[in-house]
Amino acid sequence: MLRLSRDQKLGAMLLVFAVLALIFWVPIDIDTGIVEKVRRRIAIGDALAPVFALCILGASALAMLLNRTTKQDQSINWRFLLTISISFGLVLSVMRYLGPVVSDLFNDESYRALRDTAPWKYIGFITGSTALITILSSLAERSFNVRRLWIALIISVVLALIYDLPFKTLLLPPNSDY
Amino acid sequence: MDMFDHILLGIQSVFLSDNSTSILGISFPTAIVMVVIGLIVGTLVGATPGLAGPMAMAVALPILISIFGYDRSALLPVLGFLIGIMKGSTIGGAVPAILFNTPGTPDAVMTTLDGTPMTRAGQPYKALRTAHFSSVMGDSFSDIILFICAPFLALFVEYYLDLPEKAALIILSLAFISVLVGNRPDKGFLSLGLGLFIAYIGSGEDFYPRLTGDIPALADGFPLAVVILGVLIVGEVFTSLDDIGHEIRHSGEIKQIKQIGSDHLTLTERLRMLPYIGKSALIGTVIGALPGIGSTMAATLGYAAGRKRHAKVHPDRVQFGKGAPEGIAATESANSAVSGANLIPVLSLGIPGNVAAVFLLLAMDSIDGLNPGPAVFKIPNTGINSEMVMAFGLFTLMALANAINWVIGGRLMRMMGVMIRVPKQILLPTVLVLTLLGVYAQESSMSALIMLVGFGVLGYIMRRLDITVLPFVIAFILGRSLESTVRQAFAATGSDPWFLFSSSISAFIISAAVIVILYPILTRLKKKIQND
Repeated sequence: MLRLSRDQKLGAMLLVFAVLALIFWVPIDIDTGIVEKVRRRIAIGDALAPVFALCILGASALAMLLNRTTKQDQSINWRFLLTISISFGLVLSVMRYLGPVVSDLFNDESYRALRDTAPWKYIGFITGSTALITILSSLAERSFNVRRLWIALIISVVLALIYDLPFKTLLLPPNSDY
Repeated sequence: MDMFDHILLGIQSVFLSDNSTSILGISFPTAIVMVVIGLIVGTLVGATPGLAGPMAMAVALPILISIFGYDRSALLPVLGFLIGIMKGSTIGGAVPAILFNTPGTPDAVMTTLDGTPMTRAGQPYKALRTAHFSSVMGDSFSDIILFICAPFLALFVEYYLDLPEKAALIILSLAFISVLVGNRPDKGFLSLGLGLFIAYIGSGEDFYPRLTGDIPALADGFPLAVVILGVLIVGEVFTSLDDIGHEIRHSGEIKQIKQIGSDHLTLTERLRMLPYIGKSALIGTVIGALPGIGSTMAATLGYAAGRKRHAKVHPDRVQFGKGAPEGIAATESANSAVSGANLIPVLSLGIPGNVAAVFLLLAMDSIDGLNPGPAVFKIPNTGINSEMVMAFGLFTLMALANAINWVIGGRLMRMMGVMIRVPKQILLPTVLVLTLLGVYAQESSMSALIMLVGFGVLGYIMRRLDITVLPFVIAFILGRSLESTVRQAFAATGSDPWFLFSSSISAFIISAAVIVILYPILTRLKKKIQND
């Protein structure tokens, strides 16, 4: 049975992607062709550049598929990637929604009116940033301690003040979204 | 008035300006004060992982204009500050690249190749000194060339490089980067193809934004900062965090970097680097004088030229990519040499070679006194060309920034080295938060942060699969510029499908690109035949 190396499998996958994109994605999702006629003159259409890119991608994927080098130093840590993705999903959600939720509990005004007012403008960012630093450093060290949480909180407060105090036109995340 | 008079007037416009600032009772020309402040700010910004010079320039420009206004007298102070940031961030940018393997800009990626191994070998401060020495040397060379040759080079570039030649040059630079960076050209081209493809999502000239699947958030394409910082910084942070986890699992502790041996650069070591610095400075200056190519290609070519020489002349020494100080010297000298010569296409054609130059152009566009174009370097029959005087004033500021860099730049850079004492498991997440803040400041949208993390994951996967990220980043930056230049060249040559061969210069450049692509394939075939 044919055994493929990791790079050859990657080459095969990307070759299939490039071919499918050239056959289906490009014709369906681009309104002009490789060239088009504009006012009786031939001009380059929107499809040329992506087709050029996909040809490079496909050709290099084919070269990888045909290359029998089996050197493989590192592997993808899928568990790490999954944990990182879930952590970011949670942290960015907290950052986005915590400020408005807390301000709704204690205020009658909308969050939009309060988005550049202390302490409301800091709630989402500082909580999210503290959580992110704590989670990532705990993940790296595979352990958790409360001291790290305090360090993360101090770093987050300092970063918020560095960005917020000198630049009056800049808003901390997520305040520009409101 | 001849050229020499214009040069003198330009120098006078900086040193004898009415616009002065008093410090401790002594009056200094404001432009010079602004250069010093810009240089300090630039070094701090460049040395902070996750921040980069262009970001600081973007924030500073509106503030500077609100302070100094739009009239002629504002031009040199504003440009002085921006030039200070540009030069400061170039040397500062080497700090995170060397110490943490987190390059803030594509140029700094090449610095990581030898800087990080030197840091791991216990020589972080020596690596920083090497970066500073070679950066300032390259910059000085470029500034001298700028003063002597700018007007002639500007006329040469304008006369010989038309649209087909520019398109051919971009293709050549993409080919070079794919083949020369990394261990395998096929993976280099894979990275290039992916970068180009992602650059073409949501762009184009038709009303319907191509390849977006009608998703409104993609209508304007992926933002530059999101893609570059995502792949370069977030990807590296993820990789390093995963590595720390591996280290703990296998050895039970995290390796901390300790200084081994002297951190000083001896005169012999400096002299040993000079051939690499000289060659790279020349490459950087030539690349900088060409429109729209920029410092990343200069760094790549400088590194490649240095690597070839080093392997041939000194096979007994530490080789490039393994922690050779000459590798840092070749890269830093080349990318710093671009900044001076880069002003030639910026002033004569209005085409920037890197992101920093875009902000210089923006400042010139906003303030009276200097309109980039062919008229800047034309000597009038009578009277003076005030724009040429301003241009030479600008060159004086460049040289001045460089002189200040010689004196205080290295000290500032090494002060930033204290960051190496911060535990990596705390520093890396902090870098990540800084990057989130930087991107949010530019894009003002939480969806940009989600995309940033997505590109970070892509950067992690590419690193783990040993696919170099630099061709991806460069392809993303140059992709749209390549497409628009090709469209214009095609239209300008009357829809000639062979427009890339319409002149001998563009045909020569394209032939060079083909040779660059075919060279590794032919070399491998030759080896295979010999082995068989």
